[in-house]
Amino acid sequence: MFSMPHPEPDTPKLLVYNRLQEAIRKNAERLYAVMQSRFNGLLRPAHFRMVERMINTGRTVAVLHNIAMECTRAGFLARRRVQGAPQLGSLADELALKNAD
Amino acid sequence: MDLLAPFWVINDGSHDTRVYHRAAPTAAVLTWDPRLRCSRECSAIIFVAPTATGGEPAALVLHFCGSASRLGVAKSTLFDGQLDENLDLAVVRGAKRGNYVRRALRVVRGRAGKRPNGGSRRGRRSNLNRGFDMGAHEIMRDYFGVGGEPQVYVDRKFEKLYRMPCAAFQRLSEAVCDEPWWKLSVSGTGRSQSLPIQTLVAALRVLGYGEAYDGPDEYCRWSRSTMFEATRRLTDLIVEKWEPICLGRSTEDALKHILARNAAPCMPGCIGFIDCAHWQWIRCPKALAGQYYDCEGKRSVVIDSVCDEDTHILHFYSGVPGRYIYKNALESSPFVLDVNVGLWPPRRVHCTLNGRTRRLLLYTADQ
Repeated sequence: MFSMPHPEPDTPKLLVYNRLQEAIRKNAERLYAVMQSRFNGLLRPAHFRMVERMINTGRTVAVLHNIAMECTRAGFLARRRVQGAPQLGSLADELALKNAD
Repeated sequence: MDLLAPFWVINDGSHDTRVYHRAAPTAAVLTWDPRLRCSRECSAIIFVAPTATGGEPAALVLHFCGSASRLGVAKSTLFDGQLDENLDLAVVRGAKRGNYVRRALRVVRGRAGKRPNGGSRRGRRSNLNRGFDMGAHEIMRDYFGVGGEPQVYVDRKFEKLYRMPCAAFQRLSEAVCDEPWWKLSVSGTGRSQSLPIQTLVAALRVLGYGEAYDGPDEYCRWSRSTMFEATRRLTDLIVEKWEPICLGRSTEDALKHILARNAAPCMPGCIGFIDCAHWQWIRCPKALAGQYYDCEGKRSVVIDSVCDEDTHILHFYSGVPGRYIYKNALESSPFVLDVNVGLWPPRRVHCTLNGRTRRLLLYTADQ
């Protein structure tokens, strides 16, 4: 279910696997950097008194990050995603529907 | 509502209130009806001067048209139509008028002695006159343009300052405008309170810049306690309204698309990247410090998330004490719980690898 890198790669096969896995896993690491640079509230969480507030703020930031992503996707993000994505703009449609209701 | 359209401002000198209209003002002069006797000179009913097209007065705006006779205005002059969105100024006055009517009714019914709200009291410090209007005017001028002039910060700069494009901000403000707490309200003295956009901007500055709550005071003119409440309400609103849409489970089509994209470089069968991180919590109470110490000796909370290659978040979970290592923290995540039970990922989506069909898809993980 979760594909982890091999701890002690000794064969060429494993080495290649590890390298490819690292190459693609960097996106997950990048997320925290992007999200924190976008919403600095994540970086300096000095003003939270309770964990609940932290949890809610984290979720909010994630949602806002996603919304901002949906809006700017055609700009600087991967073109591949824009071309064939089946649910592109679905968020905008849903929001529009909700607003109409 | 189109936020991108420029706003027009009407300055009401006697009351030092600026009101923003979305349409260009059709009337040059606002006249005041002198027939009304009020305790404060600033309250009056506004007539908008006739426009160029029609001979009738464009609108005499009162949202409590029914109480015209009580106010001593001839009913024939009242414009009985729907209240226009562009005529905020009149709403302000009308609401103030409504206050007086309500107070008068209360006197008649013998409830004058009772205060409806806490409000300001004798012996307490009076409220600071922050000048909401000034803050609102600066925000409007900077980002939306006032009086036919273009805004100071155009789209790219807007995106940079608010960490989100103008379209996303517009969605937010549309969602916020309808909420009762955020609506433009009128205080007991008849002054209009801050605009919803002003509050939203202030809350976003706290989230985006990581400012303290009294940080936006100088720009947005909000006190610290109100800022705290605004931020709390904004987070609650967003989580309640958008979390199921934005952070819910992906559809099968989306999964197939992610599969296809990941198969191209190197990883067939991979539908996301899962990762954990520590989020430092500076104000952790001493009593909880034992739980929240992480391996670096700081107090923190574990957040874990699943994203795809555009850093589009598919799942987000936080709140596990930092003492847990990542592997154990993941055990309580609802996403991983679903995976363990077998509810997720859907088995109908599959990939073919070396001639063998795999129905269990992969998440790329750390060690």
